Amino acid sequence: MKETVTPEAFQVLVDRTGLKLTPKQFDELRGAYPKLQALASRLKTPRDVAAEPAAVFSAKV
Amino acid sequence: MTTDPTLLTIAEASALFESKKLSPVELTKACIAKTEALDPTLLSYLKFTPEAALETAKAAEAAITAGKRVSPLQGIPIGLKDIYDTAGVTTTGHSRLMQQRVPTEDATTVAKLKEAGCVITGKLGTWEFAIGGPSFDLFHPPARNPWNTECQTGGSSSGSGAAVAAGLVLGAMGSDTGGSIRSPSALCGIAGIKPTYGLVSRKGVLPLSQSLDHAGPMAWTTRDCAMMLQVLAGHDPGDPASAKEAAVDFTAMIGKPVKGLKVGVVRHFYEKDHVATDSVRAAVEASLAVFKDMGCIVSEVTLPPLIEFAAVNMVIMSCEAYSIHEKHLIETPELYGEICRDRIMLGSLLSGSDYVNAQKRRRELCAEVAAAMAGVDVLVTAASPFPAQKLAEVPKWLMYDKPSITSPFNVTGLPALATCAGFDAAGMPLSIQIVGKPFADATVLALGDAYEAANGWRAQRPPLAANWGAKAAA
Repeated sequence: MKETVTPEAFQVLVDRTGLKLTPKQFDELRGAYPKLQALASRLKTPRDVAAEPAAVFSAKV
Repeated sequence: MTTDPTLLTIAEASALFESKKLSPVELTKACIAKTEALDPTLLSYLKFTPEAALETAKAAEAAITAGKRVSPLQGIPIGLKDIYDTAGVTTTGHSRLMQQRVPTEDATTVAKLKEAGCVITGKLGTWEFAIGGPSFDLFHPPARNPWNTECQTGGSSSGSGAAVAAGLVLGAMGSDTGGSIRSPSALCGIAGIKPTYGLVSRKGVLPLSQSLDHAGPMAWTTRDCAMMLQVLAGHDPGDPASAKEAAVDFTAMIGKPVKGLKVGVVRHFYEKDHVATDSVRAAVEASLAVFKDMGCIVSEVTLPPLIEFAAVNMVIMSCEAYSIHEKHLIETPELYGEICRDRIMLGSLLSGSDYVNAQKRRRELCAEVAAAMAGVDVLVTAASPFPAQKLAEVPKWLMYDKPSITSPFNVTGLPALATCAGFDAAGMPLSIQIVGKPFADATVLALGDAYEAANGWRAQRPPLAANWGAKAAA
């Protein structure tokens, strides 16, 4: 069972985005948010402090 | 060989042009007539441009008659997913937000197709901005599957899948961020390749997620995809991700024996990680028997679980898509369809750390897959865990609930082909994926072509597409 997020906690998250949600949209996104958060949580695995991301900067344009 | 020119493959039509047994005008007129007869049902086109197509076909015919043919694709009708910029023709992303948008330049790939003499027939429907669909609240309804018009096409290159399967065009352009070429190819029973990341330019293609987006061809056969890729591939300084690989002849290995090729089957993807229907599992197993009969050496390969790839794909895509759409979602959210809007808005709730973690995990997964592929030439797995469902039954959050079977190869950037592997009891197409090492697209295409030649599925078209002339006459 995925965790849920309270309306109050979810409102804090939404307020940071600047999005203006209708009550229906708010409920829809609050219901879906734990699905995405569960995926993001899988990525917080311990790794070497020097681990590089896949996207690399190139100074040469 | 069929007498209906709309059911020809690109290779067949091209050969008939060369021998003067078919003309580009004749073929284009047949595709136009078929589109007028069937597309009110299939709904694949957002903008159909028959007059311009006919003009190009006439020019192609004149060039061929004069012995000045510029490429094997000259005179071939090709449709474009409506995220490919076309100078002077609307490019909307299938969204009200861009419904009036008219680019002033062609996408690099569109320019290449035009230089090759392709007959561009118009703009094909897509899931909104290549993520939101199938949606009924846009300015045009979703495309329908020619094998059963009650069913979805898969997405996001939905119109491309429907139009190619029905023979409204002989080839089409799709794009693929998590499976958007391969899913509609699988569900519509056609071939489609997501080339190696960087092989085909994305300049002038509306982005969804730049570090995962791929542009590529869809056609009835793998051989046709190879012919299209021959035109499309190549370095483009206008695309920062464009690779500087040496030119390759993607058609050179087509038709050659594949004996000795080492095939690694990734069973856990469709047997454990996202359990496929019995029909899909049986189709993949049957394909392995075909590969063995052709002299391939089949073994089992284990990759990281699908969910690991799905996490990377969804987090990166969500963050990058929100970055692209943030301004419009804050200012004019009402111009988006519900599914697109909600899926992209969700990305606003992730953090910078989430995004960087995903990019770090991506690098690890690329290394893990490269190691797992060390002993094989290609991987084979299912292309879709299920055949096409009814349009109204596609879950809005499916890709968040069940890990995608295609997205691992967006994460790793590897070339991945979907091709038809038979039909289920209801007559709906089933499909396999063939995946190669970086820039080994030609190997993938060669095996896909050999597989199609051996299995005979390419002789079977959707009844609606095969019998349209009789229907029109009645």
